[in-house]
Amino acid sequence: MDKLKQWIAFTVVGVLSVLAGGWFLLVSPKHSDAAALRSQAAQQVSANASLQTQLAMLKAQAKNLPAQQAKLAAVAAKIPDNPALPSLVRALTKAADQTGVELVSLAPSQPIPVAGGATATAVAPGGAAPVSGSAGQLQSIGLVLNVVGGYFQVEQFLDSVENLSRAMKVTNFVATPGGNPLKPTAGTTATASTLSTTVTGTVYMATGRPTTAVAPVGK
Amino acid sequence: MTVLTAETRLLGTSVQLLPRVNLLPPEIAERRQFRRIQLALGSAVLASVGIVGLLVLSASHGVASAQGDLDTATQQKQVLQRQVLTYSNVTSVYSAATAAQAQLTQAMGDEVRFSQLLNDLSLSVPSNVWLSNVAYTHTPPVATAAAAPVVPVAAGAATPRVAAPAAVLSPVGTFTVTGVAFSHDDVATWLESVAGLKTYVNPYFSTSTEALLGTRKIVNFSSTASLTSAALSGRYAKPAGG
Repeated sequence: MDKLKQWIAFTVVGVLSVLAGGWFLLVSPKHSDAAALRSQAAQQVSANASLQTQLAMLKAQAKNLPAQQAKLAAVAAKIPDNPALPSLVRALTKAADQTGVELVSLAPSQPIPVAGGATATAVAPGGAAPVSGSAGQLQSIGLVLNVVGGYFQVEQFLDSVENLSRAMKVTNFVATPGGNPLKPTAGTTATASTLSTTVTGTVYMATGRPTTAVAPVGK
Repeated sequence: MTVLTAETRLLGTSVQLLPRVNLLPPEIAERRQFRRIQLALGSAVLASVGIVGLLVLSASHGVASAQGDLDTATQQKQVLQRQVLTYSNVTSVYSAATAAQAQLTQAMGDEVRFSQLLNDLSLSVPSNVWLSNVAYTHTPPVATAAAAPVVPVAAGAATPRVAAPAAVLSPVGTFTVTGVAFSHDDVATWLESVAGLKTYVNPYFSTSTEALLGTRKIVNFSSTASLTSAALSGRYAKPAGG
């Protein structure tokens, strides 16, 4: 009986060893692997859902792409990527001619970087596509104009300046009685109704703007 | 045994009454029983191995199934990423447009349209007042709340009034003017007319001095006021597309 008990004991130990060894060495690692794979698959499915949302948003945005491109072009006209002084001078001269003032002098200063304008970035609306876009380094160009004309002519000129295709911000305005130095009048009556006006303003440019930003999109 | 049973039936006796004789040596019987037990024990071991094998098979199937799910999801991800890439231009254009709009707002957000100020001014100058020099200075608005200032009114006027809270109408610039009036009261009227405009606050005057223009007595005056945030055009501060 002792021998039988020994056999039974050995067998129990053997069975338990086989079961324990099989579980811990073979089955459990595979369960862990399966669990890890399932977790990865779940994460991937979640990421795919996010991608699908993003894709749906992009498809919706693609329909409105021409409007965005037009907006981009409009901003590019208001803030060009270079000083564009020739076109600015022509625009101001045209505004002066149309409003009847004499544009006596223009004095632009050198471009200087605008504080806080180095990182004019934004993310795409909707938040699902966190791709940053850059509009370049914003720089300001000071501009001092001297115009001569009547009060309402100067007012019309300012209105034209404020509605140029290029953005110009008037920061100072000083009007004093004074005539046109190029057309001196004999009497004092005409001079009294004429204002010599100094307009100080700022125009802007953006350097380093990505060229693809305003490129047509083939869609 | 069948014959015996039949004979037994015939004889009317019972088998149970007959003694059973087992001539097998007990050692052999014990050995047989031990072998049977050994076989049973061996079977138990084999069964445990089989169980482990089944468990391994099941776990392997689970791994394969999970791997399949992961592969499917990965393939779907690649397909979606390719589709998203085809719309990369959309993302870049939107981002650039938003950034450009933000840049424009940064540059022109505090714009003051002086043409409108001049227009409003021309409509509010009293009849006995003439302006000689007009100067506007635009300064960036300061986002600090201050106590509501007291608005003094010109000489001979009634009680000073309290201006609107500075937090609401923060100054964005100054307005300086020199002019001519017929009397000090006309200067007071001028200050009241400036105070009546929503784009101005704190109208003040520094001098109001009598003088002669030919034979006519006049008053030369100099006054100032602050521009409120109502003077801001707000054209570029609106959100994109607004």
